[in-house]
Amino acid sequence: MASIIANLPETLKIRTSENEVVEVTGKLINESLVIKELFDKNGDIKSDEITIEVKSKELKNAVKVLELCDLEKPHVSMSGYLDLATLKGANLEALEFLNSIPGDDMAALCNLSFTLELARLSDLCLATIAGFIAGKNVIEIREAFGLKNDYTEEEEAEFRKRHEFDV
Amino acid sequence: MLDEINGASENSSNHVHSDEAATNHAEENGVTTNGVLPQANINGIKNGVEGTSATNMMATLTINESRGIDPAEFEIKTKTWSEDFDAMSDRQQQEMVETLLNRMDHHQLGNVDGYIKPLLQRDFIVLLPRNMAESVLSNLDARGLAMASSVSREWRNVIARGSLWRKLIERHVREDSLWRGLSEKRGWKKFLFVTTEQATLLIAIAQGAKNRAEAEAFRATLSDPIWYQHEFYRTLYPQIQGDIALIEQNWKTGRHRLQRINCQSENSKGVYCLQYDDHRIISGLRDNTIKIWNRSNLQCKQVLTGHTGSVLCLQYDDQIIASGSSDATVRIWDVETGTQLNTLIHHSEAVLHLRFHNGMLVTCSKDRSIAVWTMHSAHEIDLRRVLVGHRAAVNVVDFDDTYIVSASGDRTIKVWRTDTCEFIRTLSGHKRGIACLQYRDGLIVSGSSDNSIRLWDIECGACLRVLEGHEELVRCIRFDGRRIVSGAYDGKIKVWDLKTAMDPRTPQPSICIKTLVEHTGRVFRLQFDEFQIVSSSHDDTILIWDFLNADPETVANNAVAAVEPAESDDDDADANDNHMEVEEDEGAGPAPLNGGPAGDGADMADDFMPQQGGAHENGPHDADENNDSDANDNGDDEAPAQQGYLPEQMDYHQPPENNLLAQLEGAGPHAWPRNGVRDLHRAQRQLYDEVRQVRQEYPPLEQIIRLGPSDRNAMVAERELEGQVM
Repeated sequence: MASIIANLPETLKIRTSENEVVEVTGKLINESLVIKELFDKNGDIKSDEITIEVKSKELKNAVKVLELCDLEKPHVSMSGYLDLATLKGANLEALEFLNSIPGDDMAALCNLSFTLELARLSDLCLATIAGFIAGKNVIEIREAFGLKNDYTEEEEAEFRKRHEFDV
Repeated sequence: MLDEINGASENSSNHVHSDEAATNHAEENGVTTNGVLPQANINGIKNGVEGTSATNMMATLTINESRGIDPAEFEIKTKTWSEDFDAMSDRQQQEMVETLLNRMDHHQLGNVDGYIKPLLQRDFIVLLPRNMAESVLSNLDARGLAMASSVSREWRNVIARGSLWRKLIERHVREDSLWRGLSEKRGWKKFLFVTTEQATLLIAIAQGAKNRAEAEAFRATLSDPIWYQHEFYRTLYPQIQGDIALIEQNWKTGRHRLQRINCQSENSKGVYCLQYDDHRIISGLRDNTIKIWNRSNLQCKQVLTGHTGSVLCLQYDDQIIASGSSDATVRIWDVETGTQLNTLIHHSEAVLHLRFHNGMLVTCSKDRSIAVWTMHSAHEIDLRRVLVGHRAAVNVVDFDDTYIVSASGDRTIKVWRTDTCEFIRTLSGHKRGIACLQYRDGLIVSGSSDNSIRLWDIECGACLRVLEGHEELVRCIRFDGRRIVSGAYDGKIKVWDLKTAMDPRTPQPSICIKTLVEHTGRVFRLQFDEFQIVSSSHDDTILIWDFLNADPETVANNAVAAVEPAESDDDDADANDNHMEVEEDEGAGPAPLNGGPAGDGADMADDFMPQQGGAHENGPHDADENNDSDANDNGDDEAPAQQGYLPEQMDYHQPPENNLLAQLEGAGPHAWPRNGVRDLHRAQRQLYDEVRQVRQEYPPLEQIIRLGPSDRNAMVAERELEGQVM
């Protein structure tokens, strides 16, 4: 597929902080505002390799998720409230993959999407995490995230009274 | 016992023997050379293990623990297997792991589960950058947010610092008109869409600070204003929910606060049309005036005069009022000053309804035509097209960017394209003339003289539902995303659930939520929103049914209210029921303009252009006079569907020559008793029933004379075919 921005190459090699080279397509480059601005500033870059201070595993996971997305469909970034139904409709496979990756990798992926301004990836990660929380009660949320209850009995009683749910 | 254990161990699975002896031993026990025990054996052994005593199980476990390969070899194999594993595809890796898991016992699986769980568990809310953590939580609904804030103190901090309760409320206000309206009416909108600092001051003032200075002083004392705000919005949300639930309950039970405006019309009483907003109600009256009422004190603040007939329809926006009248004109007024800006003289008979939107105005008339206008400005309004095709008065019209929809006394609804005015289709189904209609988002809702309401899909023309329940003519109807509200000639207003109405499986009785009875005359017009209904009636009142500030003691009065006619000094006190109370005095109107290109080519053969002169224009209409088909008997705007009554606006002081009743009276209208109005109505109805029955046998003499032989035959044939609907 031709790159959306004229000076973006068809493929690009990214050298990570671990000195590993990961090859990505133009479509994926186009998802990242940071990389696109890099090309904008530097004009046509003759070399097909750039170095970005990211970990290999994180970058590979990001590439994997984005490859599962329908990148032909433009993504409208929603800061704050996400249209989960629309996200799911367009990126079902990517969301299924994200649901299965370990917590550390998920957190790292979120940070990577924030660093490289990968809006679509960011929204997908946030939607996945929101999905872990939605519909659960307090105990289930704590179990899902491995959290400890640091409230006192009195405070919990107050929550129950206020919200009428089982803590 | 030891022999049993040894015996069991010899048959147990999960042995990987590295030496030949062990391999041979394994083969003797059914273990294949690659160390994998067939599945059947595994199941059999596991079942066997489960069947043994606890002691034996412990012994078995102990023995299992003592098995294994040499640690150094284990390390080599692990590395080799890991490399092989990495070379596999995702799918293959998953299958490999599933294969291994299938070989494990419950104890092992439990351990594996305990290992995996923490891998997936991370406190993202703490790990993520703050704005991302807030973004995650801001996607939760109210319950999710409440749960999240109760999970841990850190989560509650994120929610508080992100003002997520406030953002949730703001989101609802943006997306939901009910929330939006409530935020304005209850006054908490001011706490939204402001900066954090402003919010703190406003909250402090709301909670007791006398002025800004005091609020600022209070804010300075707060150790953390974030928590102060958080508590406010967190408490506000359930209050809003409670308010919404109460409003919903009020709609269901009919509990409301009623406000009444007595319009105090001098002569002719009745309020034919209205429109309202938060500040005013603009009403069109039978006494030829437009009255503007102040919502805050229900006082009349302005009276617009100019029409020489009843004001039958109106619409306004932030600049103009457009009104239609039985004087056959449309007038344009300045909405702020009340100055008359323009008069449109086109229709030859009463203007029964109008709508304007986006520079386009559509009017419909008793002259059976629809006029489409381009509004360049209040002073410059040009006639674009005239749509003909209806066979009786066009009682109502509505439109959007795609379609114009009209409904008529001829019992049909017609659909026309807005851009080209091309006729699209006719919707048939009502058994009597159609008095009211609304069209929105592909859905048409119509009310008819047959006492029913119909829902239609505009694209395919299908009737989706028939709502029955009204006992008299359905005179006005409106709907929104949730409800249909209708008003009828018996003074009753009914509230229907739109969603259940659209569901064909819902039984009929479940659709009508409530019947509201307060008007003592025909309900001519109503408008409603999430919080109120505003209705107008022949009883010369405007009622405001407030479901937001309901009086706890008031529950909808379901008793049948006596629908008394207007006071006896009203000329129409004795009037008969009529379908569409359109015009009063039938003075000879201006000659109709050339109708222009017909909009309905398909119906041209049956088209019946407005009469050019003729006896019927010189006096009150007899419903049957200009009828050429049974449809008009029922649908003529002056003729109620069921019986051929005379117009209610009949002027008794000048009995028209063609007025059958007057002829039958012999001595003239003054001989008819004017006391006992209710009895008078009954007597009239009975008389007209008999007259009508007689007249059904023969068409009116005037028509017979006018029609040619073939038309006469066609008309008779049509009547026979339709089986004399009356």
